[in-house]
Amino acid sequence: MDLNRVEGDVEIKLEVDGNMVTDAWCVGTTYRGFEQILVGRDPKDALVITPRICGICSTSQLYAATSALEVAFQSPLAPNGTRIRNLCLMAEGVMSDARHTFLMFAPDLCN
Amino acid sequence: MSVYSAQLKQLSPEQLRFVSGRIKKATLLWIECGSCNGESMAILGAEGPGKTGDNLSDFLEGRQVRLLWHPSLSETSPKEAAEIIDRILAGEEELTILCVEGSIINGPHGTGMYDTFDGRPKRDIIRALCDKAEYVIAMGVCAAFGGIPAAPPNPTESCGLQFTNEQPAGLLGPEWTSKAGLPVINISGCPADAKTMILTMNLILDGTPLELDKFNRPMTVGPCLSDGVNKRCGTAEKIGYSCVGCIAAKFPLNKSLFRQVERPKKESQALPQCEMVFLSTG
Repeated sequence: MDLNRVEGDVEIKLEVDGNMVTDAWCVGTTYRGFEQILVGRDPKDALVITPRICGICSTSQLYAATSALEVAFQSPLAPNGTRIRNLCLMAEGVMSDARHTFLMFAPDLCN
Repeated sequence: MSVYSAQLKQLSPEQLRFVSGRIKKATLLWIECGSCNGESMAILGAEGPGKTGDNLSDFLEGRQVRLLWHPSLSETSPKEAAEIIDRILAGEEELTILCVEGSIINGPHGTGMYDTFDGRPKRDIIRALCDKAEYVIAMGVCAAFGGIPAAPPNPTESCGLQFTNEQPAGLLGPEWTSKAGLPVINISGCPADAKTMILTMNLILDGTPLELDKFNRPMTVGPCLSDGVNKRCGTAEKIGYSCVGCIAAKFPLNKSLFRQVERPKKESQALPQCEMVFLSTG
């Protein structure tokens, strides 16, 4: 069973017994190998490469990368930095919710 | 006709004659391989409405282009999309513009099974569709030059459509041309500028001859080519980055992307000496 209008490529495999679904798998059909690409590079390159994992959630990937770098270098974060990061994530959340709701999900509710 | 229209039989012949004086309608198919969908998201962010033709839906309506399938915008499920693709490959459906997004994944070991669609490797589908299309546009640096998945160690054996990181070796040979006689038109950028994409498609539908540089990039990509003389196209500064060379054929570079910038140290100003005034209590 395939899914329509998802971000990226995902399929769902169902095992059906009569009228009941007995088992289900989520199948990701694409592999790109970002973990292997990042090995051996300058740590700050992750700030450029990780947002390219996904087009909608780029900011979240970037946030994860910066948090990881922070923990690795054990550098302190100013309180305004936390606020800026929260603002960026909120903006991305608004964009992502609007996109998924109106562009990708709502057409299924229409005729 | 809205941008979501992908059903093929919806317009009756009378409606077709009413809507456009042209006998043939242009069709557009957007297919993606190993991509992050950044170009799809970018093209939705083109400036508009207000300027006709700059918005994706205005472009599709104004130029009478039928969107056959887009992974994120179409109403049809991927099963019907597979039927549309089969119809194109059988020659029953005409394909004017094929937009490819994302690098072509050849792993593991050349089978292409790291990215499948309906059980078939997407690489084979794209290869077959390229022969049927009049114009093939590679959207973004990943489709054009391999891009990020093709960065070393390249675990998925990715390549671009006609180039891989400045080498003319990709899915299609360097001498390949589409049905209209042009090689793959590379619109590079990460993400590619939305106005550039729509402007290039407009120029193609107008039939204007496009100048392509040595990497088959049209002159609409610019003004900056980071491997050229002028830098600063402004895309990176818009989002607060410094230039990382996303239009160049070799992106990402093998050296570290952020250079240490030597800033001149400012002389710290001497604090004014204050005299401590002690008020005597009492």
